[in-house]
Amino acid sequence: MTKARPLADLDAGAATSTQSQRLLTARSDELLALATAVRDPSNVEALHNLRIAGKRLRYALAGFAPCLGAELPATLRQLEDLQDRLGAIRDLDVSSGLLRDELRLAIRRLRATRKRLDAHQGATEALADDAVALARALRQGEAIGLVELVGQFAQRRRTLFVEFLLFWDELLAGGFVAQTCRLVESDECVRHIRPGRAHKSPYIRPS
Amino acid sequence: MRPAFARFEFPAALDTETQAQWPLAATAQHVVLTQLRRLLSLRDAAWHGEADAVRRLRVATRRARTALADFAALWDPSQVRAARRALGRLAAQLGKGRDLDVALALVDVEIGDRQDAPALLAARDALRRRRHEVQSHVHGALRAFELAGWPARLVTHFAGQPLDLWRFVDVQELLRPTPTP
Repeated sequence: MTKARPLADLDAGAATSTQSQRLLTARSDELLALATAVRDPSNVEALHNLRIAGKRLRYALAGFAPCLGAELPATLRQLEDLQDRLGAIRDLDVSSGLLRDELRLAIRRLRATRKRLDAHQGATEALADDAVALARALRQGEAIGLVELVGQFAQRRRTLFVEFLLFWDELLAGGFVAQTCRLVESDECVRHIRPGRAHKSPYIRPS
Repeated sequence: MRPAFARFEFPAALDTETQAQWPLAATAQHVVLTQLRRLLSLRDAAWHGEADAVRRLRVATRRARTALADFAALWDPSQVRAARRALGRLAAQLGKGRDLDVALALVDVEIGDRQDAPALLAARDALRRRRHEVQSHVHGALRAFELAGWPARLVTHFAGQPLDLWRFVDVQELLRPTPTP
């Protein structure tokens, strides 16, 4: 996760309205710097960083709400929407990691169950009992369920990413950058978005 | 064992919205203390493993840490660092619980009407057992946060600096020019 850029020389005694711009510019800058990196669906870190940068900007905007213009509610709504989409993707990324952790443990247990078969001599009743237990674990146990869930999560994540990309393109094409810059009264942040480049996706949509 | 969660009064300024003409210090303190107040109000419910309380407590912790980073220049750096670390330790354990709550909710969606799929149900049971285990880490983090006196330290420090917000019983006084501390 990218660390937020710290701001030095804030004037504690100055009116909030005179100090808000620097912080908001820094936070919007951090968000927009990720505009193109997030187009790669396998760049999990960039997607996560965009989500965090969006949160930081949203928190800062909310904190300075009394100093900001009429476009604030619209910008906050867009940022919330962005975060919801990125959050849903992130949830699947993190959850699939947890599923894989559990799967590792489940397979270790399965291996131990299989090893028990080696302890038998001859085709005894006891061997049959252990074999039945192993067959049940393979067919109906958590391992196979976890594998199925990992697959379903990945499928859902792919759909969510395509939807996110469409939303992101619309957001950028719809003047989100200009609107954010107006809000923070800065034209610094536009430098990250070069017209004509931001909307070309290297991602090939699954057919 | 559940610790006795300390309770606090907050400065009157927290019961009003921030204003553009407030000194930056007051706005920063307002933002930090609002999140601390929320955080402290959710400890009990999070202790009992309520998924929504864990989520909201984690959000409040994160927002407090973000505000401390945003306005770090206004306070003693070592105090900010220590506060952010304490909140970070709490957030890390809450995060583990929250991640499993989210995973379980997603698994519930996948299972949907397939209550006759034993492998999926077994997978969910495995995650539930893990979530149960993680709650003891959440307990440990909440207990450590409390026993180290962090609630009192955070409220006292950030209500008292850079401005002594307790002095502003009438919040209109915040609109008068204040000397830079």
